[in-house]
Amino acid sequence: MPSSELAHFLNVAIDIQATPFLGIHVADGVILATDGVMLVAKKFDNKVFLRGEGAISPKAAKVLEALAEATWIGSIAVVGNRVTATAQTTRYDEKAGGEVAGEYCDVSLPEFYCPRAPVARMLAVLTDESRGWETVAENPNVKVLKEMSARDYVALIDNPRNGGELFRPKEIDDPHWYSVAQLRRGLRLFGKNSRLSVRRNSSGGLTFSDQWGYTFAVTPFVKHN
Amino acid sequence: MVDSMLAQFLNVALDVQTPAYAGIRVTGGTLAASDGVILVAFKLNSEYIRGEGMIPPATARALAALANEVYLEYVEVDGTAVSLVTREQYADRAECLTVSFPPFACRTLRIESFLPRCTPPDATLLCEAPSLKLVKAARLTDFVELVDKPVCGSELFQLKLPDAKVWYSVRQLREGLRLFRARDSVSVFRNDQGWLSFRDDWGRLFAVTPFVKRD
Repeated sequence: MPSSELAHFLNVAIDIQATPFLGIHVADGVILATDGVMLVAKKFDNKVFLRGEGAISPKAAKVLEALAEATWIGSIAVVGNRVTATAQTTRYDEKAGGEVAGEYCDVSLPEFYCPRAPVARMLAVLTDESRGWETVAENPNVKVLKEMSARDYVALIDNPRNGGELFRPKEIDDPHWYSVAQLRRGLRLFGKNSRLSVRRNSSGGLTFSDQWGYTFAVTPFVKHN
Repeated sequence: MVDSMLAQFLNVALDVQTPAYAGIRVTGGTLAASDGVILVAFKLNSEYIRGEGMIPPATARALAALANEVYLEYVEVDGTAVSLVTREQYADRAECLTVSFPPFACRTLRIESFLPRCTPPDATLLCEAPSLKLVKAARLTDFVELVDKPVCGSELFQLKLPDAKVWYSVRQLREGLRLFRARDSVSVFRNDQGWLSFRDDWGRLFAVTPFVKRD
């Protein structure tokens, strides 16, 4: 059975990561990628699954994604830029008449240089009370993002309701607004069954998080007078 | 230097192989994949691609990603277990690094047995460096047949006529011809059963079986 969720996260993370925060960063059971404007992260409660601290280079991440797409990944250990995954083997069982799962084997990927990012500090920003984070809506509707062009911009509606539409097209006097393209890229992280919780801080930063530990954060465009 | 040709071949082979013909066959330095109708193969040095067996799709994906990024010393296949030896990425470390991929279930398919049917003496040379513009211009759902007397540099195909005896799918041709780059010089062979094969100087081969009119 493939690790589809991990493969999907890596796919989105590889898409989002960019200089100066190249790579996918790991620390304290959190895997995170950012380009400085958007951030995607996943917190693993299972301390055995994701171990160590460091940065997975985009090259190693692509190999890991390919493996996760194809087989079950038992654990990932990151030490600096060195990544080791345990992948489950499969074999053909004549009695069962099909493919059965076998033992786990270590796959050590080549070490590619990738600078490390301060994961803990980045995540702390998303929960820092002094930044005035408040919950905007639970399980909102984001249909407008699908209908609009990727080049459009949106703003939050005035009083978003749980289950109601979260965005509207940007108006000229909006103090904060968001790119549809950026929102679309980040929101790919969540599945159809995700129950999203949306929070906003005083400077317009938005975070989407779900019950599985996935987080997507995006910074706004700001009107400067 | 990274092996982008190997990576490209693996990506095309992954697209070509189907669940019934899953995996990439390795024997004698040759990589081959098929879906039962089309076949792609890449003849490499047997010191570079060592061993015999199948590269399962899972490993092939990872291998394609790595071949695009690192300098490979060699790839060794043993059954369905694959290991590749690569140089360390840091200049101050001289040692080689082995990346071992675990074995995955993958049926052994002796795809190499089809290869002699696509090359002389079973197949005869039809044309060198033909133009394949029609395959690009036609719709995916179209079918084409060979022109009567193909000559070097001119169009190899014409749209299928109602009375054609042997014809080919544009979709299948496009899928396999992705193996070659724009400036590759390709030789075209055909055998007595109508199998069409395209070969280049780098050891890559794409073969396709025809649709045949039954009276």
